[in-house]
Amino acid sequence: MKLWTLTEGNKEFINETGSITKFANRFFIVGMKPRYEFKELLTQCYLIGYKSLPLVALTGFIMGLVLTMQLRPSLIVYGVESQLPEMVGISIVREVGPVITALIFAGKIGSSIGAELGSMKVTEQIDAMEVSGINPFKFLVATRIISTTLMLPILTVLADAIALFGSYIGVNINSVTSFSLFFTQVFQGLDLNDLLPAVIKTFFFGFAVGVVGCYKGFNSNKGTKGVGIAANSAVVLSSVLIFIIDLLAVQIADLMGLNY
Amino acid sequence: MGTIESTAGSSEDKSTVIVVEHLYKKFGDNVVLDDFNLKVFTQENVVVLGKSGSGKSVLVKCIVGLMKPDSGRVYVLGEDIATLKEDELDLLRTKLGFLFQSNALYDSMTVRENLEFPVRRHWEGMEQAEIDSKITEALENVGLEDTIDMLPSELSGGMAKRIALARAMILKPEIIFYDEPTAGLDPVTAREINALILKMKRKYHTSSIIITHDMECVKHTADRVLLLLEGKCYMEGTYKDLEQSTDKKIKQFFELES
Ligand SMILES: Nc1ncnc2c1ncn2[C@@H]1O[C@H](COP(=O)(O)OP(=O)(O)OP(=O)(O)O)[C@@H](O)[C@H]1O
Ligand SMILES: [Mg+2]
Repeated sequence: MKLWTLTEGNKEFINETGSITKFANRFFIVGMKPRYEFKELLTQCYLIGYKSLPLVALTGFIMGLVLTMQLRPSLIVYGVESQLPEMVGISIVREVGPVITALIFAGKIGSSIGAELGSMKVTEQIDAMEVSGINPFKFLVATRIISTTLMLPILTVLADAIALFGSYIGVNINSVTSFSLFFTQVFQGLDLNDLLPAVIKTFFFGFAVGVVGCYKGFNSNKGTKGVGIAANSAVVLSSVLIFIIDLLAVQIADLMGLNY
Repeated sequence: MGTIESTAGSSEDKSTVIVVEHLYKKFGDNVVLDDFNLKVFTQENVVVLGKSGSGKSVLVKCIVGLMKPDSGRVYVLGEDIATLKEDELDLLRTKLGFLFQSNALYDSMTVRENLEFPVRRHWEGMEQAEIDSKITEALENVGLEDTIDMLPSELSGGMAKRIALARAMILKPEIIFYDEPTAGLDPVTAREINALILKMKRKYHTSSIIITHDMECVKHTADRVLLLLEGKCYMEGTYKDLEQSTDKKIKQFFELES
């Protein structure tokens, strides 16, 4: 009896998984060798990191505020309203902050990398770079992957901080707490075991967004439609990957005893 | 053929810059190149003539390694490009210039940056003044000095073609590939471009492969003409040979002119 038949669909899935892995592998082999494109790297860090700040700050603020207002009624039922800052702090730092920020990042940066490289591919600009002896993998891909990998953790930490500030305002809507008391409570609930795995996984989120965006753009099909598909599938795939990495991260942290 | 194969690709063989042997390339069932052979000698302009869709662009892309042929060998400046590592290939390509049929200008950069991009990378530490003079010279060659701060999206089709040409020539490469250098240009500008191609050869001793349908361009620039038909080299000769030929398939190209 056949338990598993290969249809066109899952053949393609397996093929694509293989190609993306190869692409990521090429980043470590080719992208890490000199010559390094520092100037382009800085430009990309600016575009990818700095330009995402307003969006990430806004979503972070709302996330903290809303989470606080949603949690309060449940905590009142159990009579632990005073635990609100700890609860919010833990959920933001461990899970909500990294994942929401990464998803926003995938939507903004993943799609723009996919579309940019896709249209460069379609109009032969990548080929032009290649024949003029400039390695497009180093110049375009490696710089973008490094930037997303480095910028997302920074953005996440900032988003966490702004979310906690939003939460402080949320607490003050219904009761009065001083700024220092609120943050003392938040940090009482947190220790390094909460922070470390959360920050480490954001490096992987950022790496995934960069690799998928570049892969999709680099392998874009001809035509305007190809570019659209590249941008779209970059967002979809990197969002799914973020959840898969999150799932793996929580399992690993659990095994290492970091979740207690 | 044995004797040709034994000398091909050896670096002592200074007289050939490009050797293409038994090249096959197909896309699905569409056989584009079918046992194609070609040699280009130093300081020679070879024109590849052929109908639309006959595989001329595919041929030059196979030569510079942008496409992988299904089988066959390509030697550029004595090196078998299929066996080169990624950084060796990058190095070899600094000696090549390539004009794309689609121009392929970097559309996020201005004309100046488009021209500066290859220069900065290959002559690191060059003074800004020197770079500027190279850019000005390249733009003067194609008669477009005043477009220097424009974006590619602001250029007309013919202007973009000339900027792309300037970019392909700016490093004064040993070999230049021109994919339809005069397509979409008025006769006056086309004549200037033809003169420029000749000047590159005389002044900087470049060899080149020129792809074109434009018989004026063939007449002025070609040392040798090759007709690509059904994936093979249908005939080879000078412009005169071609003009005097009684072969129907060759005559077609001249009839199109009038
Ligand atoms: N990437 C590709 N995928 C599939 N088929 C291709 C691809 N590139 C070219 N072809 C096919 O190869 C053939 C030759 O194309 P090519 O672009 O070389 O023609 P050409 O001789 O340059 O024509 P033109 O004078 O119109 O530019 C065409 O039939 C085309 O359909
Ligand atoms: Mg063509």
